[in-house]
Amino acid sequence: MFFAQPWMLLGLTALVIPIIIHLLNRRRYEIIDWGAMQFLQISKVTRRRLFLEELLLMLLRMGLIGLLVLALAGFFTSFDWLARLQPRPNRDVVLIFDGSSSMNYTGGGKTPQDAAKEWAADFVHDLTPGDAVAVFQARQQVVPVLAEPSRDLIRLVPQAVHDIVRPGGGCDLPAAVQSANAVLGKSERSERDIIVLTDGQRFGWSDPAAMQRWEQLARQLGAGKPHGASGPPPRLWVVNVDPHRDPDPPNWSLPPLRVNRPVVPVGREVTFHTDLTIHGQNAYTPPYSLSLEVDGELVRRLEPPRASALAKGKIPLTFTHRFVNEGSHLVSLVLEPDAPGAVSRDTVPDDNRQDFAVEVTPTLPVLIVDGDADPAPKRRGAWSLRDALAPQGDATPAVKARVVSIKDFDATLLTGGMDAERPRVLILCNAAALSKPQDEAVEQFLADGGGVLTTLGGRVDKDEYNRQLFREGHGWLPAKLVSIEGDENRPTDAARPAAVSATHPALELFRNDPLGGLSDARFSRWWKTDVSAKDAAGERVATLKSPTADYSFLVERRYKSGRVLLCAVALDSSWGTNLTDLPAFVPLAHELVYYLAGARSAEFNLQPGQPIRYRLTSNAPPDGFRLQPPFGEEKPLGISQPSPGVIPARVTSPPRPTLVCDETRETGVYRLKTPDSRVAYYVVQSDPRESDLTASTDEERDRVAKVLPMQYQNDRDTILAARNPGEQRQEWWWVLLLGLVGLLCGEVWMTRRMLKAR
Amino acid sequence: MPSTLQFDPTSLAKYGRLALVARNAVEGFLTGVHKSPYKGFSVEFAEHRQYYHGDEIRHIDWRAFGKTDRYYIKEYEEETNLKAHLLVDASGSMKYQGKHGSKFHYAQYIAASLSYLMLHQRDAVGLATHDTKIRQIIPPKANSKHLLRVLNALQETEPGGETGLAPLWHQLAGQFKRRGLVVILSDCFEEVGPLLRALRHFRFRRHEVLLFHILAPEEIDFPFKKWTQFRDLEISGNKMLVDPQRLRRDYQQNFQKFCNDLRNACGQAQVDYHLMRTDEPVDKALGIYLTKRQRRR
Repeated sequence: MFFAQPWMLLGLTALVIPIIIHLLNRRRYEIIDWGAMQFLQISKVTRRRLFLEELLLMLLRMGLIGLLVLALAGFFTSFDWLARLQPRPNRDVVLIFDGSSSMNYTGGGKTPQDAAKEWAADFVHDLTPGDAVAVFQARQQVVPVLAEPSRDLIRLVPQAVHDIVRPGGGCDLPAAVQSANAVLGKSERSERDIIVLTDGQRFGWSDPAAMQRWEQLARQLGAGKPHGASGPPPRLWVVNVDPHRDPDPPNWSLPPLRVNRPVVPVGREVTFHTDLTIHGQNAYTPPYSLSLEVDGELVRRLEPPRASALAKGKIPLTFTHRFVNEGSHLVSLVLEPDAPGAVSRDTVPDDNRQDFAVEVTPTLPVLIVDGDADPAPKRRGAWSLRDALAPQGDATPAVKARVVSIKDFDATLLTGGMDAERPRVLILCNAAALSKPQDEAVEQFLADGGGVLTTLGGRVDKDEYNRQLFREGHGWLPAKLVSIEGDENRPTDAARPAAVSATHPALELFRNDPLGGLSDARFSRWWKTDVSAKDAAGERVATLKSPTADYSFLVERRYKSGRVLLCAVALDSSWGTNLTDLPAFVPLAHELVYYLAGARSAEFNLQPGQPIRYRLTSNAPPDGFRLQPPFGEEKPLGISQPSPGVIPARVTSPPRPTLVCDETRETGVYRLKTPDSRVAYYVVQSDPRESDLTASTDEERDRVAKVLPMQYQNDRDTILAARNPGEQRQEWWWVLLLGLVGLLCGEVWMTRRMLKAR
Repeated sequence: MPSTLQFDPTSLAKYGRLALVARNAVEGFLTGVHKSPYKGFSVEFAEHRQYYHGDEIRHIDWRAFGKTDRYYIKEYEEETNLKAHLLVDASGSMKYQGKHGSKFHYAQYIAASLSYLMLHQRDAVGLATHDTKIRQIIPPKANSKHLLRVLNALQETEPGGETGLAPLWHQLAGQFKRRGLVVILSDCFEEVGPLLRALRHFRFRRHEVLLFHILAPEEIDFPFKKWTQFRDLEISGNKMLVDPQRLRRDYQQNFQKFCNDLRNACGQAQVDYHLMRTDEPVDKALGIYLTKRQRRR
């Protein structure tokens, strides 16, 4: 026997109140000299009756106080046999469906997704009236299928379970558990369950990233107590709907495509990279087919790699393509591991296709701002860059370069004119400093998704750069300028670009550096920048090696929607460098420019939940836009009011009117149709790690359960029968209150009876 | 006890023409308003009747003869004297003082009023005060100076002591040789059986007995609400702490039974029983009683 509020038992001292009142009444009596004493003599029976009535009334009043105190103290018992007699209290349940593509595993008959739906339907069927169920799908973002717990177990909840869409991409189960916790935190019920229906895959559950997420969630739940201050936290159940799956089943997959130039010139060859990823198999035999599709049309069948050995389960795959038309295009690579009718080597077909959206442009507008105030154009240092990007005499240059003096540089050069003529890349060549309007124009340009290449030379005013452009890491300049290093008179101490790590897309071309390549460049002088400082916002992506030390060659920073590259040299012939004479100079200039122009192209290949952004050409209301998601029908975008059959969207104005749609939870291809019937492709890419179907080991599962208390339980009846330890106890306050009412009635009856007898 | 007897003779003036009529005619020799069964030639003219042979000539109304030329004999109602004995209970229980004064005071008023009235009508009045024993006894006399003696005796009496009515009444019944009117003023807080025998003793001696049962309203209604310690007025140290509200029903049952028994006993003994509440004015109570007596005449 226990009490929820033991301190209330102090109220039991009030039990003496009726006794004290009785005694006080007896002490505070009147004295009357009386003659008719013999009539006060009553019989023993009457005297006993009166005494018993007095005693009973006093006991009743003491009982009233006692019951009230016990009820307020929250008297309860914890008898198991009583708990078994009690009906199961109603509960609130959140069902979380693993929405990753591994739930489409086909190696075990029905898919885990179908098994999860079946399990959930049976579970809902077995719930008692009054129970409430919410349904979530854990994709790379949490999809609330039935956001609030519903008691409609006949229609609404089964319909929500039935309506869960086909899994795809990765999943964030900790986020789903967190959302479920938040939902149940609003519940007043003590019985609350979160049931995760998953397939036991290691990735997304017990891989290092997921463990980090679990730990983060455990900290949040421990600190914030989102499950409510009262009552125990919700029970967390993990149901493996595919418990008999092979621990490492065979699976072929394609990781996302990579391209060296996100912005592709018309008619130029573009190289795409990916891998054939093979799980659960030790030997490689070429797949049945590999197909390249552009804009949904088969272009050609690719020759499968002939490698004989698997390196970490991957076979590199490269292919090229030339786009003949400008605009948005969709490149798709489709893998068929097995011939029709052959023994399946692939158990998850969803990851056998990769899509990639590219922007094909006829020419790339580039604005070169020369810091040289010399009026003679030929002597301008920026001329070499201009020649490299758009050689005179080239009738169809890939880059349309325009050179202006620093004095003539203003915001209209970046924002004026037609959209196609607006520069995508700005190159600041060895400018001494920028005025404040010029600096603001650059910031605006970056916010609009532009790319900026800043080259440093002898004219650069270090203090102005650090004060105005770097601003202790708050400006757009990637690194703080320290000093000019090197000596033109000591060519032996010249610095040269270090071997490129090739991880950076802009320098991938120089990975296998041929003779006359970038590594042959010599720089007798260069700027030293500080990327290790605490306030440094940029990252070194290329290195200059001098005989004494390493320096940053290129420092990159993402600023707002744009990209900035800071080059430690002027990229011209000043300071006696041989770079402009090397064959690598022209490719380097092109690679840097196309890389910077690709800042905006990242908007076409998205992560789940990352919004679709489409730049509008005018401020007019964007009517007539339609969007076709990966699954489902094409629907119009609704700007003003959300309504059925319309996909919600919005318009953001600065720096340029942009149509934004946040409905990108599904992985796959989104086709945005403009009013003039053009199509813009957007690809929400899936997580390639999802293709690894390796199951979590018991040890890994236990590790997760230690981080966040949970129970691995596949038996539905066990989950249904579970109760919180706190619910094993029987609350008696209501019985006590009933008794209190009964005693009160008894007291009133007895008092009235005694009054009547007077 | 007030210093002077609160007896207002004027309050009785209105009853001067009322007659205290005994239920049965008692013979006496003092002329009063009491009707004698014998018509004679005393003081008060009753009627004329025709003269018959043998009547004494001195009884002929010559004035009537002069007017009517016929002989009429004047007949008179012969008034008798009444010996009244006032027995006033001065036991401790009579000392109970409710809102309207003590029962003993009330008895004093009644006794004084009756004495005055009776002496005014030339009846002889005697007084006996007692508790368990006779404190003072004044033989009945009819002279006007006797009133002062009676009143002085009443005034000097202090109530106290235990009640012992029945033996004392037996004793007095033996002492009152000549039949008369015995007026008892008491609360009669004693067992009814012995009282009945004592009353019957009076009746055996052919006394007319009036019993004024004097009670305080509080004794009848028992209106007390708070816890109360009742201290016995007669026996020192006898006290009882009770919740009056709880006890009221039983008390009233006991008390009512006692009153009924006493009333019945009086009926059996042919004793005039009259309950006198101390909240009733004395003169009113006497008036009601005398009026009632007159109607029964």
